[in-house]
Amino acid sequence: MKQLSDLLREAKADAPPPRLDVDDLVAAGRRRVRRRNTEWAFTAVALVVALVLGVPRLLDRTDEPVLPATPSTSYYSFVLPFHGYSVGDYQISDPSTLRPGWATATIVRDGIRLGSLTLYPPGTELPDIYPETASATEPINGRPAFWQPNGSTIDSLAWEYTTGALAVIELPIGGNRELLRGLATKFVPGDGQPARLGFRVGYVPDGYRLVTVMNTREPDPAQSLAQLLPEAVAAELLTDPLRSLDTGVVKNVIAVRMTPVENVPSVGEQPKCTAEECSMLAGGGKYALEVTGKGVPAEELRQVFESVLQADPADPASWYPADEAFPASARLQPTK
Amino acid sequence: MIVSDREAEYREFVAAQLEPLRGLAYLACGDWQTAEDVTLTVLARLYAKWHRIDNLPAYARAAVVRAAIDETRRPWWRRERWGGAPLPEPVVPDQTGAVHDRLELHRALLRVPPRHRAVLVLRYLEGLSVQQTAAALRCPEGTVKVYTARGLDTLRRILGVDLEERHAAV
Repeated sequence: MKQLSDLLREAKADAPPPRLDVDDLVAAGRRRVRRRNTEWAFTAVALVVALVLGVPRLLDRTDEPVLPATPSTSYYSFVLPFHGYSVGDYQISDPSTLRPGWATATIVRDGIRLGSLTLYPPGTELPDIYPETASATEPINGRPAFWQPNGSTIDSLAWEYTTGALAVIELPIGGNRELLRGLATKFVPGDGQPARLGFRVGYVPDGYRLVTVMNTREPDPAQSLAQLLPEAVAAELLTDPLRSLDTGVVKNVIAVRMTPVENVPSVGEQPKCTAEECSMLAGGGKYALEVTGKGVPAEELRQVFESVLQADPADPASWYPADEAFPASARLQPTK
Repeated sequence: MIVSDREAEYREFVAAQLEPLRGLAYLACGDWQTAEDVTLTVLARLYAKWHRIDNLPAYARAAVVRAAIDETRRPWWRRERWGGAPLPEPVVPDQTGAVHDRLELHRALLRVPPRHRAVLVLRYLEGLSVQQTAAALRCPEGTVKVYTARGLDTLRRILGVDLEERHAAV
């Protein structure tokens, strides 16, 4: 007769080596602490400066990049802050994930994802990416830059690509200072193209706001995800852009996603709903459409699911602008 | 460089707990990469809360299991934050029999519903009582008892073996 405790120990006996170690954890913890401290300090300083100066800052710098005009609407808008580009064998994708306060793109070479380029645009809180180990380095395109050797695995390069905004390149695999600088130098902010989603949703429960637009393509199969949170939590993402959406922090959440069917082996041809999930095959059986919810009444979830209109997964040109893919009530209002 | 007491304590805690927590998360979610992401996120958060938590091991254990359970419901949402490379395939000697048994067990565990599985792991691997498990998973004690019975029943049915339930705290 076997003991269950022994069986459970056996089941986890083939653990692969961990990717990160204690130093990485300490670095991540420090960043988290500093971020919170910096938010308060930054807000206070910004307030004092605004009160003292009381006038617009005169911009006489010739190296200030020209950014797309801020949308006149009072809603938060999911617009790509830059366009993907290539440097030698390296491809930097269009931003694949957008949230209030940051956007991130993947860096790929030979079909392998190697790292990321993350942008913190003007108007959001400055993230604390300047740990004690970071040091000023030669400017990137005339703008201040910082080099951060971060423990054993991840080096990163940050630079102020325009006033009050930062870009960060992290390349855990195969990164070195010269390579990161080369990738950074070719970066050009601005594009203005709307982020798109592979579906359109006609119904959203009261009080939920769109906070995440995520699309992945090469080297991964096309996937599309939207995430909605209650308004109060969504508003916190505007003031705390780096807040994560981990379990235990966010209790109520709705997600709509279109993903290759192999990611959801249990999906069927006919729509099927459980308490926290509705799903069905889409895109000629090659994709699954899922609506998942946590803390959302099952009937509400079903209504969201039934209101989804799919675009052609294989034809991104047919996808819907994220700002138009949900009812206007689901759009986030920064000033509210 | 002055290393604070907090950091020294944190380092000691992480060095001792990283592997057990990663294994715990793996049993709860069934995927090593997700387990590692979950563990790293929880431990990084713990740094900021250091000295504000009474029972650190219990807190970390509960947070890891809850996060791992939830990850089974949204498998790719959070990859972008840690963004690391895929875990390398484990290199193991040719132990076909042992590996086969482990794979069978792995499959069996994954067929146990996530919350039932979490209850089994916390009670039979971590040795938590019904009350402690209920607190960790934030559910009534009655639910823990029901999930324990159903989880065990499912495992027995799938594995076709009789399981001795020793080591489970009451």
